[in-house]
Amino acid sequence: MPIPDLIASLGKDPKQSLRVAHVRVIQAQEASYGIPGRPLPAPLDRYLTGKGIRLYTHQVEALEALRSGENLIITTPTASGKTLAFNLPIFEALHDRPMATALYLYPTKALANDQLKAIRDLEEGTGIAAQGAIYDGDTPSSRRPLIRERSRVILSNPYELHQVLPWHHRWERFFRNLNYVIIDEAHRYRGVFGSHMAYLIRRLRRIARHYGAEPQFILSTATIANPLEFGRNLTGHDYHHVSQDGSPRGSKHFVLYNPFYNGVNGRSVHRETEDLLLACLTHGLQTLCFTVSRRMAELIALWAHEDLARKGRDPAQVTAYRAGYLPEERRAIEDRLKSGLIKGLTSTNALEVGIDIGGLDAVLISGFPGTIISTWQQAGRAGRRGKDSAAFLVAFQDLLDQYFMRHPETFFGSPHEHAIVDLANPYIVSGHLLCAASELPVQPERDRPLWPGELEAPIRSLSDAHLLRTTPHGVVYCGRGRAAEAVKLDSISSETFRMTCNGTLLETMDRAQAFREAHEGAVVLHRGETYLVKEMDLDTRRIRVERADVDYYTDALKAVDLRVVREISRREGNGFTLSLGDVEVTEQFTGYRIMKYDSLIGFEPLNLPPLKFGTRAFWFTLSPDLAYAITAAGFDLAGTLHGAEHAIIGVAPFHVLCDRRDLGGVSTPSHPDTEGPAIFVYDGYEGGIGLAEKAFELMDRIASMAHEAVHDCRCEAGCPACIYSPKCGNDNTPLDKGGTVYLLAALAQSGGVGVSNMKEK
Amino acid sequence: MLQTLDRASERWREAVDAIPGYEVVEDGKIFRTSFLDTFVFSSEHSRALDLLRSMMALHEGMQVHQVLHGKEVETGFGPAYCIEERTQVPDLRLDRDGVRGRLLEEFRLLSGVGSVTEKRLRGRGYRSILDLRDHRRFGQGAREFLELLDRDETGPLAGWISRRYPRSHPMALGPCGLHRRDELVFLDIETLGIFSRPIILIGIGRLAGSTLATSQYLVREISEEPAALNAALEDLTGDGAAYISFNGKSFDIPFIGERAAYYGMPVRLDRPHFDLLHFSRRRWGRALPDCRLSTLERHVFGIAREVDIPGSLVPEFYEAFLRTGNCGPLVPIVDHNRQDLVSLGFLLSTLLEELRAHP
Repeated sequence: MPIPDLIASLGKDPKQSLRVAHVRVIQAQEASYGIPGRPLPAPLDRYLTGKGIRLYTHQVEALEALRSGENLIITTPTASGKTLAFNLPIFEALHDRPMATALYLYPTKALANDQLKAIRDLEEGTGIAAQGAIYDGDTPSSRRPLIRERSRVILSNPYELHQVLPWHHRWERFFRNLNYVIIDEAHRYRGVFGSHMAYLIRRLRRIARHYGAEPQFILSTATIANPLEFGRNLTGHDYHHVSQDGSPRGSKHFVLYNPFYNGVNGRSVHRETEDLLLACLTHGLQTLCFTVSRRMAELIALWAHEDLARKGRDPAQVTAYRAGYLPEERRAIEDRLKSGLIKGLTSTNALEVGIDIGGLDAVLISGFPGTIISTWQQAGRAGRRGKDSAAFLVAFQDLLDQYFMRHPETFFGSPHEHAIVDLANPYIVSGHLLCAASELPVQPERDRPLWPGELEAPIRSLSDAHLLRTTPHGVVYCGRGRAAEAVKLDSISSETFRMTCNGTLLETMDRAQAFREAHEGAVVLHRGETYLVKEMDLDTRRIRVERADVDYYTDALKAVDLRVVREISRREGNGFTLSLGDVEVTEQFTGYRIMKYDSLIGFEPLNLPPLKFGTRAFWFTLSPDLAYAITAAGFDLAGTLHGAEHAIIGVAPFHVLCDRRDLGGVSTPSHPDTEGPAIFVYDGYEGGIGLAEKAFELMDRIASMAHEAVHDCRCEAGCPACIYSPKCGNDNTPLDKGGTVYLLAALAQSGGVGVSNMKEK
Repeated sequence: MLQTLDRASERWREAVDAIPGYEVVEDGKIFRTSFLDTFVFSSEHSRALDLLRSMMALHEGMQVHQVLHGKEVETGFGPAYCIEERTQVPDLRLDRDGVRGRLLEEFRLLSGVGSVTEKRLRGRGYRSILDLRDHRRFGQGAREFLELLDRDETGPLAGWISRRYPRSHPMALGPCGLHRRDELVFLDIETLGIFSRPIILIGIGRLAGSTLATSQYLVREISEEPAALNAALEDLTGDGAAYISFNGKSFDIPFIGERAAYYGMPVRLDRPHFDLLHFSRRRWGRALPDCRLSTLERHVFGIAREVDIPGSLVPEFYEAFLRTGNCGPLVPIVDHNRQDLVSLGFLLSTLLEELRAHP
């Protein structure tokens, strides 16, 4: 019983037992099987029998939901037979309706390649002709016409679909017969990408409708707090939600491991991770260790080699894996893992997709990966068919990491992260309106039910800009450049900065992100690799980076100015007013810090023009009485507001699925637009992507979690685990921890400002 | 958010404008890079911008019908504005019998016949494919070929030839000569860009005596595009129609198909199509700096356009009209398009002549 042994040995070790904050045993589960209400067509039935597959309850539930014409969102865990759950009903339809077609969308090309195998296998095993094919940027033009004319199952990605839609007349057969659209890994479509995807889907539905088709939608996603709302925003449909997993599972020991149990930093957290890795190996567990960067993956592997060699054990049993390996290299590692030659593998989260290593015995997650979704996806790598497994979350000295160590019930409780798909960003709405109008004339009367955003106002505005014309046949696109070329799916506006290394495009980003993360001298992390920014050209919007194996990181400092344009909604509670509204933000990046581990080793000034953008924000205004009470209790008002701002931004991503860098904040003892002490938290994206609205809605939970996080922290005057912000533009001064606790307590007590006594304006 | 919306529109306007429709190249810097209108020389570019200014000054305050005389043609999609003109073209001899004779001599059109076999067959006294009808080995192919020839199926015939010869071989143009003069439809369109944007002018030309009669359907407002399409489709789908174009197989015809689909008009544009680009590239490509239609014209026929705009600047000109309502910029577009149609007439005449002259 190696896993219970391991847990027991951790408990006995005086040093490690202190670090074990919590052990949760997730009980083993027997398989529960179901039987379809009506038998599957013979070829599918034979296929399943041949493979010895019995259907689990959730697979049958999915089948019946799709049979009855519902849209389906499925959130059962990875390796629960999710893919089969929707492939079966789709192939049943392909069998029953000889012309029916299905479109599978994956966020990346690599995922589509993986899934094509499953489709081909079904096709061959059942003899149901689907001519499954990938159609993406890599598809040779010689093969394209045949795929368009013949394939009934096409696997693609949003970027390709965006380019294909204007050519719909060449796809008439496919769209006319479109029965299913499958969106796999749907939780990835949130934030900016999600808003784009939502409108891309509306465009797809509009084209399908033009050819008389109303496809059913299938979303496969990780567990989120709001699956139904998410599905509705992403596609405009209501969903049948399948969440009850019927597949069998071994038990899993999930350990929350806190090197900062006493609030101070004893040994490097990475060394602690290596200790755990060695402990797992000692107990004979094949272990995968996820790290924050490739450098750390390699360092931990190196330390493990040294320690193993010292103990006379085989160092080659541990290896580092990183993204960008060639397929042969990947296969070699896969083979050595399967044959047991490799016992320990260290990797960045690049491993979340791409390599097929099946299940392992244990997973170490070194540092909270930012979302519960990623945490469970990584932990899901542990546990092969029915066998017991272990997972460890090694906490860093960060706010959420430390919060989970003290509140395991929150970590293991019902999902809290709301995936936001905003439908109101004016840039995204109008960009896709241009695309739609270039595909088919837009007829507001006909198209309004499909279009979640504004229609008339942007049509007027875009007509004034001479990009659209209203004609008796509808609203027609008449810009000179191709609309789909101007609209990029991963940034808000067309102001895309391109980051290249030796001429190869690494990624694109919008101006705000470029200024914040890719200014000259910045260290950029891309798929676990570090790069140094050599040059940023503001005119051509090009960023040139070079590979650099550096052991420091950089932090840009910014000064923020904020002006309230319009208050949309307001609630009032004891001493607080909470408002939601449109603001205009001016961010000026003044310089950047060079940090090694947690110490400052340098500072460089930056000379960038100010960024000015309109967005959404929520803000608290303190009543004069409350402000007086804070000062009278001996707290520094500015430090109090600043600390509360950091804490709120720190916990918000746990509720509103985003990165803490996606939110910006300003706090001040007096603001001209509020006439009093105020804390502003704004959505960092031009035009807003719904983050402020959702946070406003969930403020009671955010406020009480922020309060607990700061209140429970053992430090005296503030630390990275409570009110320090890694991205603070003012170098974390002033901060007053006592005042922060006082203020957040008052805020939490009023339920984040009166959700109960809510007064919508 | 209205303010933001206008800011967004402005941002999109900049983004759309920033997408390059063409590249300005320093004079003489390009050597045979492309046959198409994807670049302009900087001297042409500045001349064109001068032209734009002068045209606008000249036609300030005038209406389209005062500047470009045309008539309205009724269609199911409203009126289309049609500008008609006749221009002298060289006598275009289609010489049906000559072409037939020429094709019948060509043994290599039959599958399995190479130059050696051809020589051998001639040595044995075969003069024409007609003689091979009962040949043991080639009879079957000969009969099939003759069947197509007799039925005047010029599309399949051209397909047959291009399986035996390179697509750009002059021989593949032969079947064009089997058509009646009135069946040939010369086609050239002007658009706001490459695909997914409106067509602004559809030029159709037909032979009439020693002239080319052009009908140019001008889109005076974007809302007239479907009417223009509808009117042009009448010409393009008439009995026996065969298209003559310059790069029309890749551009004009698919573009028209796409725009028709955009407005929900069902069309089939699968007529015989003789795209002179390929033949011209093969014939003159090596000798000329580039193979734009205007360059061919100048070098091969000695025609110098007095006032012209490079094709790639057409969108910019049209847009100036759309935004200001000043119809001056339309004048050079219409002239340019008509000249292109006329040049197609010259080109076809020369290519057919050479096919006859050089066996």
